[in-house]
This record gives sequence, C-alpha cells and structure tokens, in this order.
Amino acid sequence: MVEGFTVNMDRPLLEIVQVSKYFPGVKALDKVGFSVQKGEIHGLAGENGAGKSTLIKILAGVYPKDSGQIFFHGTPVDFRKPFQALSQGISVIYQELNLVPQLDVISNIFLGREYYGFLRRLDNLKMLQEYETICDSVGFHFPPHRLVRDLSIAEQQMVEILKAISFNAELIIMDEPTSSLTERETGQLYKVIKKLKAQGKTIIFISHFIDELIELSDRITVLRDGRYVGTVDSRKTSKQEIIGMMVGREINDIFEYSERPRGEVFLSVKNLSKQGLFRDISFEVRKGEVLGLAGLVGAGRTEVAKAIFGLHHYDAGEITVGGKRLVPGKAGQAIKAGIGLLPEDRKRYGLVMGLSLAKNLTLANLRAVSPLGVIQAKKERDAALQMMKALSIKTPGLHQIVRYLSGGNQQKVVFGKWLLKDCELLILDEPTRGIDVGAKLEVYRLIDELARSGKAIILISCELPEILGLSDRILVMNQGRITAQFSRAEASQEKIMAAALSVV
Amino acid sequence: MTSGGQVARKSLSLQKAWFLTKGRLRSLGIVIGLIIMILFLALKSEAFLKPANLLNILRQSSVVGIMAVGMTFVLIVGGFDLSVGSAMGLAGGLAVGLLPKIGLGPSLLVALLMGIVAGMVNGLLVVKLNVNAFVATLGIMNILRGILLMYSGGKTMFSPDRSFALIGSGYLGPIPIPVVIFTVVTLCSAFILHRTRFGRYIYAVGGNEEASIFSGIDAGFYKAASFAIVGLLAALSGVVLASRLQSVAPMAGSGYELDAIAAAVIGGTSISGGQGSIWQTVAGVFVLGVINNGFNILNVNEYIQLVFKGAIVVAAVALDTYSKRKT
Ligand SMILES: Nc1ncnc2c1ncn2[C@@H]1O[C@H](COP(=O)(O)OP(=O)(O)OP(=O)(O)O)[C@@H](O)[C@H]1O
Ligand SMILES: [Mg+2]
Repeated sequence: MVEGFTVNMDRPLLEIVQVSKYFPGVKALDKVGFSVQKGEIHGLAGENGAGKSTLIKILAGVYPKDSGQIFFHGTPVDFRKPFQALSQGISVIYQELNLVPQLDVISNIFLGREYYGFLRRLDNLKMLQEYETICDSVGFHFPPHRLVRDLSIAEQQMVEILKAISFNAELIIMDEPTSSLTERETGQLYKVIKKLKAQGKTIIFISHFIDELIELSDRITVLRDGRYVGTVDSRKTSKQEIIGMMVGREINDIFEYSERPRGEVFLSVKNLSKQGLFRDISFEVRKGEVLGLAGLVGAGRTEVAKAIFGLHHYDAGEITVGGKRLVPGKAGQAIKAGIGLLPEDRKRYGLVMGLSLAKNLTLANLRAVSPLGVIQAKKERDAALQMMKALSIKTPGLHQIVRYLSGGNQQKVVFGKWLLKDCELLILDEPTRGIDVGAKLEVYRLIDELARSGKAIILISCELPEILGLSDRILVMNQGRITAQFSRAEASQEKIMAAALSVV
Repeated sequence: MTSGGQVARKSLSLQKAWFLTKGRLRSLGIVIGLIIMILFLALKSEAFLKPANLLNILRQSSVVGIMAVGMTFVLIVGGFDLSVGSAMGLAGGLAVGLLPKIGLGPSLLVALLMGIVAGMVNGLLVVKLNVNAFVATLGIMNILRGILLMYSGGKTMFSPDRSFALIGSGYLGPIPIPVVIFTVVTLCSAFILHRTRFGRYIYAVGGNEEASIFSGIDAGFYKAASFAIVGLLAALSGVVLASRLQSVAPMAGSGYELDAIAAAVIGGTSISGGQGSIWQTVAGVFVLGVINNGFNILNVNEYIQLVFKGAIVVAAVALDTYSKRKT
C-alpha cells in the first residue's frame, strides 16, 4: 500500500484491502480484499458462515476490524459506530432485523431523526408525507401506524428496506433482503434497486439465490471460509460457476422428487375463520404427504399455521387430529396431539439465543436424551452432533452460543431442532430462510425422508420452486382465503402466481 | 512496513487471546477477586485463616446462601422475588410459635410448607394474572410481614427448645449443621439446575419464553415452580436463623432478600434471565461472607461495609453488561 495517498476520482467508491476479523475460535475474515465501483450493483455470495455479514458489519462500523484497510471515496475510513457510517452515506439492511417491536412502522423509520415542529413537538404530518413518498417510490404500502411486533418477518423486512432507502445514502448494503419475500415483493425490490442504480447509487447485495444475484448485479464477489475467492462479471458467469466458487466443488442443486406412499388423513381443518386474518379455510393432510402452502406476504399462511398449533383462537370452524377435535388456543393440546410448528421468526420463536448450539438442538425433544428427567450428556452430544453433521452447521463447537452463529447456521439449528422433535405433523414455516444452496438440498432430502417415514408435513415457503419441488399437493392462499388447490402434476409457477395475485 | 506488520500481528494475537478468555473472565474474575481478598485478609490478620474462623465464615454464609441458591432459580427463569425475607421471618416465627403446641417435626413442616405456598402464590400472580414479578412479590412481602407481626403481636418470640436450637448451633463432627444444610441444598440444586430436564427448561424459559413455548415447554409451570423453590429455601433459611438465634424478631429476615439477590448477581446471574449458575451464586455468597467477616476482623465500621458491598454489586453488574456489549 502506498502511504500518503491522494484523493483520486478514478478510484472505486469502496476499496476493501486485506481485511481480517477474528472471533473466538473462528477466523471470520482472512485478508479479504476487493472493490466496489460507483454506481454498480455488487453481489456478494458465499456459503453460510463464509463471512459476508461480518464484512458488511465491519463496513458499517458494527464490528471493528482486526487488520486491513477500507477506503471510501478514496479516503481511509474506520467507523467505530454505525451512525458514523450512516453520516458518510452508507446505509445497511442487516440480516437480523433490528426494528423496535413496540413502536409503529413510521416511528421505526424515522427513529433518531424525527422531524420537529414548533416547541419541539413531533411534526407528524411532515413525517407522514415523507413516508408516503418513500412508500410510493418503493411500491410497498403499509399502514404507518401498525406496530412492528404485529408484522410478519417478511413485512418487517420490507420496513427495513423502506428505512434503509429513506436515508438517501450513497451506498446501500442489503444483507439477504429477499430471503423472506415472495415473488411480488421481490420483484418490487428489484425495480427499486434498478431505480437507485439509475440515480447513481451503489448497492451491495447479499443473497443465497444465485439466479437472483446473476440477474440483478453487475459483478459478483464470492467468499469462502472467510477468504476472498474472486469477482466475476455477471454477464459472463453461470450459476454453476458461482456455486463452484462458493463450495469449491461441483454440486447439484436440484431436488429429485419421486412418488411417496400416502397414509390416512391425519389433520383436517374445516371452515376455519378468524376475523381479519383468514376465512373459510378447509383442507386435509395425510400421513406421508407434503402439503405446500403458497401465497404472497400477508396472505394468512402463518396465521393458519398458528391457529392449528393452538396459538391463535379462531371465530369459527374446527380442527381435528386423528378424528379428535382440538380446543382452540391450546398449544399444549396441539403438542400432545403430535403437532410441531417450526416458526418463521427464528430470533423470536425459534431459538434461545443465549444457549449453546447443542442445547438448542435438543430443546424441543429433550425427553429423548433425558429419560427419567436426568439429561444424559453423551446422548445429548450424540444427537446434537448428528444434526450438526447432517446439516453441516459451521461452528467452532457444540458449545458455541447460538447468538454467535451466522444467520444461515442459526436457521439450520432451528431446522435441526424440529427434525429431532418427534411429531406426527410438522408445520414448516419458511424452513430454509437464509440457508445456502448446498445445505438447502440437504434440508429438502431430510423433509422428503420425514414424509417417507409417515409424517404429515405442511410446508410454507416464499420460494415457489421450493414448494413446487417438494409438495404432493399445493394450496394457494390469497388475502386470508384458499383460492386454488393443485395436485403436483397440475401445479405450475404461473398458475400459482395467478391464484395468489387474483383479486378476491 | 515490516515492523508495522509485526506489531499488527502481535496485537492481533493478543486480541485473539483476549477474545478467547473474555467469555470465561466473568466467572474467573469472581474467583480471582475472592482469592485476592482472602490473601489480603490473611496478611492483615492472623486470625483470619484459622480453621475456626473459616468455619465461622461458612456458617455465617449459610443462611443467606440457602436463600441465594433459591433466588438463582427465580432469576434464571426471568423472575425476581422480594418476598423471601418476609417468608424467612414468618417461617421462623411459625416454627418457634407452633413448636410447643404441635412438636418439632410438625412445626418445621408447617414452616416449610408456608414457604412453598407463599412461593406458589407469587408464581400464580406472575404466571396467571401477569402481574409484574417485582410488584407481585413486593405485595406478598408486605402481606407475609404483616402476618408475622400479627402472629407475634409485634414482639420477639423466644424458643427455649434444645433440639430446635441444634439446627442452627449443632455440629456434625467438626462441621456446623447450617453448613451441612447449605452444602446439601447447593448440591441438590446444582444437580437439578445443571443436570436435569427441569433445570434446562428453567434456562430456556428465562432465555426466551416464546421460543420455549414453541418448543413445547409449559413455561408457566417452570416459572411458578421456581418461585415455589425459592419460597421453600427461604423458609428453610428462616428456620436455620431462628434456631441459631433461638428467637424470632418481628422484623427477622428483612433485608436478606437483597443480600440473596446481591450474591447471585455478584456471581454473574443475569437479572434479565437465562444466565447464571449455582456455583457462581455460591461464589457470590462467599464474596459477601468474606467481606463481612474480614471487615469485622479488621474492625471496620459497619457503615463503610455497607458502602463497599453496594459498590461491589454495582461493579459486578457493570462489568457483566460491559463484557456482554463488547462481544
Ligand atoms: N459475534 C460473533 N461471535 C463469534 N463468532 C461470530 C460472530 N459473528 C459471526 N461469527 C462467526 O463468523 C463466521 C462468519 O459469519 P457471518 O455471519 O459473516 O457469515 P455469513 O457469510 O453472513 O453467513 P450466512 O449466509 O449464514 O448469513 C461464522 O463462522 C460465524 O459463526
Ligand atoms: Mg449473514
């Protein structure tokens, strides 16, 4: 590096030089270096735990780097607090959503930079006007006064996007913004990103959807195990090449479906309704069957899942399991009846962040490793180790606190936890959110295996290919109602989208 | 450039080492602190390291220790209990008051049962009626104290019973009975909290109640059970204290709840739940015990002791929060 540099207009907007970062037992970044040109959309790819989020947290001043240099506009920068990066024109959408649950949407967006009027009273009108402008430009419309804690993960993600864009920053970094969005919202986001690019803004975009990366970005940088692998031109690369760079070997990412034997009806839902959430929902699930639930964000799929699991009361209708009627709003009873729900919100409902990997993995099925109530350390370790291997969870050890795992690895822990749980009906609400290409295929195999062993499965996912690839039957929900039902043979992406989008 | 690189590398490995130890620093810190205090006192006073004095520290620590172990359950599950000092006083009062009427065994049984019931009431208030633990136990604290005042007529109750006095003053071989009780309570609690399903669920509920419910855990039960446990152990410590003093003053036990919380917190148990261990609490109990004893040996004025103890609690919590924020 030349000491005493001069500010050079031809230099890239962002240069990352030999940046390293250690965590206890993990080399998260090892001399990573690449640069991002002004006005480009720069994709960032890599397996779970490759160091993507760590890198952007360093750029944003969340973590200090251990060594290396970062140049922004040709000037060396070393942000120690996120607001410093923000004031220099770097705004970030983090992988873990960071909204204040008790506040409403608009307060979250203007948090810390509220407009004040006379006598320092909040100028609500001005904020509302600006909110509308941002919403218009993005194409997401939210009631500004809904509380964030009532929003689904996808909706929270959209609020984060609105917020990041509202700063009007020069460099916008998005860490897996589409991991929980369905087709329509993703499409809107692409449009926004292209518009930002047209305005001369620069975007760094992290995603595990390789097609998306290739389509959207100008160049793609790949990290593997904390090291820089390379940067490729999106027009001259292929999915296979990127995956090869990520994993270091060829892998097939297509799940091969084959016919599964189906058993008797396990769950039947009749005319289930709840004011404002869903209406007249009726369907059955058989043992050995994977039932896909498709729909847009806010279609009510998660709400139905929660009602089945006994977390929601409902106004009308009934749920029967093996011929027995479930009392509404009793999770304990649903659990006894053999129902498990893998929640979409891993931070809030899926994990105990302060406990170790092993303890989280065995939590939902602790009985299996503690006959007589005493936990048998060896049994617990074996069970956890088996999941860790099956899902290739990247961690320095079984005792690592889950909070310190990368997002995708946390999601693997959630999946592993429900895989270990012994239930008859498993409702999977976004089981692969944030999981990388290779591991996803493994998750599909495991779901298939579960169904083959006679379990009933309801699969909710924002990824249509995932639903199409795994399900025996597919229901489409739209604004709280079931608008279509397809057998595996009939279903297609177009038909499902039509049913999900049609006005009811 | 080269020398700069070397410096960078050196500071890097230092940083790495710092990172690696930081996680354990918290529990290590308290042990080191304890050792430093002991060394200091041993140098200052010959009497300090005498076995008799060490046993004395153990015995003095036992009463608050029994309660602090119970408090650990409640804190880890995400609760808080202010009523234990009053439960302690009332348990002693019941044991002393009922002893002449129904005999030693039954009166002890009634005292301990009262503790469990008081804990369960706390638990029900918190779990079923969603009353904030601080408020619920504050109310119960006053109610229990009121009951003791009514029961004793506001006067100190005395117990001349010899066998009752043994609980607090007797010895098993060379070991004072309260120490034996404290040891047994600690071992049982550590086993339950660290080795059983029940204990694991306490951590899970305290760490993330909603996630625990999704995992099929009946969170309310474990919260209520924790309150019942601390109630029982508070009553037990009350009986030991009453027996040691052979009397129960109307305000007996008051202030002990704060010592118990302080001990747990000094040990590293988090007020916000999900974290801590019995061993850490026991270390915290000994820190407080050594401070008390040491200050008495050195003849330090009691008011300064109080200031010092307060400072230690705040320092421990601040260190805890600081180390958490940094990772
Ligand atoms: N605060 C932390 N403490 C300890 N280790 C950490 C911490 N944050 C990240 N790590 C580790 O650093 C490595 C890189 O994590 P990072 O979150 O950057 O991965 P990622 O590429 O974003 O993965 P994903 O696709 O799963 O989001 C992982 O092995 C992770 O376990
Ligand atoms: Mg990440």
